[in-house]
Amino acid sequence: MMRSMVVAQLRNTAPHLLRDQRGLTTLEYSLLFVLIIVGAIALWGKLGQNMHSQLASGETAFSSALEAARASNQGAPTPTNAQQPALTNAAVAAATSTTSTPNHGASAAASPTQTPGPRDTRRDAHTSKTDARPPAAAKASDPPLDDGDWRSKKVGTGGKVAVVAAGAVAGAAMAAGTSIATAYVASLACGPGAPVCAGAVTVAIGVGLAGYGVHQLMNGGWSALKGSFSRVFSSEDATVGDALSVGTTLGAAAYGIGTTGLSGASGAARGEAIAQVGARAGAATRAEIASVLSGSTPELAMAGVPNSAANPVPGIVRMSGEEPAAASGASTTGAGKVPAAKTAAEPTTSAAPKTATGLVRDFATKNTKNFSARYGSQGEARSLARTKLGRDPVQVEPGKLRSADGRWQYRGKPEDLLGHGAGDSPHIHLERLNPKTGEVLENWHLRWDQ
Amino acid sequence: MNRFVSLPNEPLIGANEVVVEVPHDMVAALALEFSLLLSNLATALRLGAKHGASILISVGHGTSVSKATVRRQRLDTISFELGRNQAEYLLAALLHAYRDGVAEVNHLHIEGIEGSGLFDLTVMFERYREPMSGSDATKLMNE
Repeated sequence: MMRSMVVAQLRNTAPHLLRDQRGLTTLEYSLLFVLIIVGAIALWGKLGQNMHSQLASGETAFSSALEAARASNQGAPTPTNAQQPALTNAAVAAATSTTSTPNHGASAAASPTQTPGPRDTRRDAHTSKTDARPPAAAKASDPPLDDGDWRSKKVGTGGKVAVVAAGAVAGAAMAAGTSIATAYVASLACGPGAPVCAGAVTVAIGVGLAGYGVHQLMNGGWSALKGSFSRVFSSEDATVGDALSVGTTLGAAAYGIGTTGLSGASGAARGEAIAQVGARAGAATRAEIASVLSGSTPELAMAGVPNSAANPVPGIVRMSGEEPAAASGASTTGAGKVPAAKTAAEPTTSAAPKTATGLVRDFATKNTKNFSARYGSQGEARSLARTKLGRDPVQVEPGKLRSADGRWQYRGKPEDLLGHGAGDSPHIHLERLNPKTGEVLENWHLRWDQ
Repeated sequence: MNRFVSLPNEPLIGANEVVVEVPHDMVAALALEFSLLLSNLATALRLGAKHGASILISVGHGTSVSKATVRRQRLDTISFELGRNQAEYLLAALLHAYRDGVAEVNHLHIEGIEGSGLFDLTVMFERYREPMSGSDATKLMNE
């Protein structure tokens, strides 16, 4: 019973979702953006933690081996342990030269697994002193924040300001990058004409990042961040890492506020423009992929114009949805007559239409007349358009082709071919132009029975 | 001065166009609003329902504009700066619909460009003339 109710509900909802062209609202985008920012910050922290933990364990292993080697050197060396110090010293030097730990100065100092800084280890190795101070026995008077990592260096007030500012720039850049990357992935996955799909992908990415972020915040990230804020905005000693954390957080938050409806219309427009960078790049990549797969040019693939392999007539562009034209000679379909195809021997033929350079721009005026006609089939309507376009039509822009003499223009964008909403039916436009000025004299809506 | 016309249905924003449905009883009012814009007696015209997306229309100085300039003012507001020729085209269509009781066709496109992408304004009419037959159309085209 319950199951059937759910199924019935889904059946009612699914068509609505498929027709949904609204995309996401301002509020939904804002919430999503906040979630993404939180996720990005947490991810940043987690990466740092992982790196710190890995390096710390590596240092511990090296130090242990080094101490063992020293101890062996003092006694009767065996063939094995006689070679170990040199190897270990080299490895330690290599390891310390690439050490980079994130900001966890204070918390790391309090950690029971804290080891001496790499600088200490290297110094010991080079001087060959027999100071066997174990790693965990660092003096309590050691500066708790200085483990040799640049992130753990103390900074004064001026340093705090400078690092926070730099971190803010980095945080804003990270947020913008996340926004662009998300739009890129959504556009790449769904294409430009599927807002519901793109919204779903965006939400999926956002929820994934946010979930990870919340998890990290609940597992120590929140207290670490709080500690950093507390140290930076007080007279306490703070580290570069503290200031960097605070800066990136503030930068990301500022980006979020500055690019959503929270900062007014201009802010939302900015955010939209930034996301559009990713969306366009994604769409371009998608078109490139489509063109590679189909053998067509990206422009034609985006316009819905079939590829050259499926368009065997050189110089004639087959329009979306048409059946392939005859490869040779003329054929008559319905009211229109297909122009004679060029032969393969003609030297100037090309499968793609000419580019739109040097064409006058078309424009409608108060004198433009609108007509509508119905044909028996889609093929009949298209055949008429093809007849008017003649040979060697020129692509003006995606979905718009013009006859070589500039008198007729075909317009068939994806929305036309689908119909503009529930009250409309599929159609194409055929326009008669003034070839000298580009003025649209007549705009014919060619429809067909379905 | 900005004007506002409340439509019964919210404009539908798609990937490459926004669709505005014009009920027949609002044709006359809309024609007047476009007259105000063209006469510089109004700065912009906002079309939208009480809630949701809206369209902000203004008229620029160009007289043979091919593409309106489209901008997103907020995520749910799209502004179109039309050329005078485009506004006159829309006004003529509205006047035809008012005079004849039906529009010449069921919809008109105002082509626009948003950044480097194409984005159109599509105006749908409630009442429109039935399409003629294909043979009649072919004859007219060949005249």
